[in-house]
Amino acid sequence: MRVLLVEDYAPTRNALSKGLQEAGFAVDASADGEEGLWYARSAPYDVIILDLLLPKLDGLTLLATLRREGCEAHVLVLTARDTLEDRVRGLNTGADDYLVKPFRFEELLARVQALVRRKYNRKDPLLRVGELEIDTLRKQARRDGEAIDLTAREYALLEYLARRAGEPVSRAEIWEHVYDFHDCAQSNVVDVYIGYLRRKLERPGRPRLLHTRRGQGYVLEIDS
Amino acid sequence: MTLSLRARLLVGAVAGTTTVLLAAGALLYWQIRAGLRQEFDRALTARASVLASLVEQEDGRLEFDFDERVIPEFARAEGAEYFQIRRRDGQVVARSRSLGTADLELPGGDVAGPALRDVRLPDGRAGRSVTILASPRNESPNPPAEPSQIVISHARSTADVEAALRRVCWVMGCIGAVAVLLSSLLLTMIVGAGLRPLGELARQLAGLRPDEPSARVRLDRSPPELTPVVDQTNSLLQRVEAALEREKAFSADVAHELRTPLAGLRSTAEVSLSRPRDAQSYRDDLLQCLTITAQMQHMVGNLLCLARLEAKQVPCSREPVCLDSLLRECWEPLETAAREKSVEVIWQSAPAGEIISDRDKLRQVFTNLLENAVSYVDEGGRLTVTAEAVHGGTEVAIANSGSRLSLEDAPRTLDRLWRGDNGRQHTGTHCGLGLPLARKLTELLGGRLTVESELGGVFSVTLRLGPPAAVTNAAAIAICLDGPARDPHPKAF
Repeated sequence: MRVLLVEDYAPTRNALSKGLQEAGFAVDASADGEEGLWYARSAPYDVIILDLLLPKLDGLTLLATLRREGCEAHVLVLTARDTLEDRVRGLNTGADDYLVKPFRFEELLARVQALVRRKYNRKDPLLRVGELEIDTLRKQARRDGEAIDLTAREYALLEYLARRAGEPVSRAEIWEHVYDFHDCAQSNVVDVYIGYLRRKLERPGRPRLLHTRRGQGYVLEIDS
Repeated sequence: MTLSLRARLLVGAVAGTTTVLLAAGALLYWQIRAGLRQEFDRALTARASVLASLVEQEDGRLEFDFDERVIPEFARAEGAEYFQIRRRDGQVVARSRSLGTADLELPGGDVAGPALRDVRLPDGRAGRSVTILASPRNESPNPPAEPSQIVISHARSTADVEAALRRVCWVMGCIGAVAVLLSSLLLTMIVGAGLRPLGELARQLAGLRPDEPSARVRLDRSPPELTPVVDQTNSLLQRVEAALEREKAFSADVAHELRTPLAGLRSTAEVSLSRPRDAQSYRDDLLQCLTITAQMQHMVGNLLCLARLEAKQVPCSREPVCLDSLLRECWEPLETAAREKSVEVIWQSAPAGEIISDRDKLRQVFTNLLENAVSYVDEGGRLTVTAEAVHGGTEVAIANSGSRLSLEDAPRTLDRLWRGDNGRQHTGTHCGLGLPLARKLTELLGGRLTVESELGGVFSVTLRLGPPAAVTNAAAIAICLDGPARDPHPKAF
């Protein structure tokens, strides 16, 4: 899942970026509103974490612009202002959630994950595709009860495919939702990671889960 | 006991009205009395003239042709009138029967015209007499060249006049009392109606509550005398409301400013502790926490200092201070940062310029201003430091190019926690307290600090240091700040 973090205070920005990346998210971070708007327009983020008091372009104006342009990313607003008026204004402008500073990182992470589930219409943090079980809170995958050892990138790829289980997902979509701008754009990196995932996921004699649909992309589903 | 306004007005008005009525009544009474007495005297004199006309002189003899039946008043036993006719030599020619053997007293001196005076009548009543000089009738064919003269005295009681005057006095007294009573009632109503707007104003002022700062006083059809009072009261309430709003906003701003570094501190610590890490990672995170703590300490220190300055709890010391040396001393730690931004620094201060002031506080002011200038000067820009003697004091100016503030926004930099842009990337090093603190300290030192700016041009702060501050402590007092926050690993935000 791909997250955009727009926060001008460097210690907060650095800590949240690090924490979210370690939690398996692809994270792009920006320090001002104008750059944040550019980022938001450049990729289909799953969640945007947005501070309100930003230099160059304030958070509420950025949010209003994105909503006006039809951006469907879920937005979590971070701010030190906790009055009722500020909360209502933020939510009415188009935010999906509101968190007052200072906050526990654990709570921020839980809210981001809830927004991701909402985006893909899956309320259960446990994703199931046949005998494959993915615990999105613990970032663990099991098949037939047996744990699958995945790297962070492999897990992120698997989770994205599981959230869109049954739908073909193109390489471009995988790139946009699983990688961030700092990742090196190589034409076959997605195919390589699909290969890694297949090797760890498939079991001899068991139905295939990860399929390739020529011209459409990859799909995670039980082999019928 | 202080009388109320209503009581004062009423007492004064009633007393005044009563005095006027009394004076008018007295005047009227005296006019009536004078008129009655005048009429009485006129009738008295006329009667005496009639009596004189009844005296005839013939062949040197005087005859008084008087019939008591015509004027019976002169023959009564009670309530009689009196007359007496004499020659000039005093020989009595005739007297009224009522007079008996008594004589009517003559006025002293020679009688020329009618002489009127108050007398006691023979029967003891109060009366009034007139004495006139007349010539008897002479109907002979050869009247003497110098006719004889006779003195006629006539007296009658003034009881009727006095009774009439008493009646007038009584009636006037009754009318006056009723008038005073009625006017008191009327004045009570008029004063009450007149003071009603004042009462309404007092009622509204008493009803103002501390939790309703937006309340105002309103008087419908306010009289011109109260309009300035209402306007000034509302103006004062407006200033109080604005001050309360500023305090509320300041409290919210302070909370906001402190929450931002707190969030950074918490996030850094929680992410660091979320999984096992190597020693260097922990070290880096702890250093970051330390930096944030130093920033918060700096901010809290500034806030505390501002609070103490506003409560006037910070004394000043007096000592000779070389401005140029102090400025360079404050500049030294900032040289590296200025060099990194390729800033051109121009010094225009006189080396020997000295003033009597508080060195520590001046150091704090100069440090704040120089740090600000270095932070906000543009890359490759210019920073100018000027110190010169001016009439009555010394002027120090610190200016930097690359200003992002307009002329209108420049004075706002002296407001607490105000920043030119919304960003908090400078939280901790610049939280909008440096210039307000510098201004307060300058004012404490007896000086003045002003700010000017041109968008894209020069931002300059000028200190006018006038006469030194009053001495309250001979020793130098440590400033309430620990000094500007120093990042052990400076990094650009």
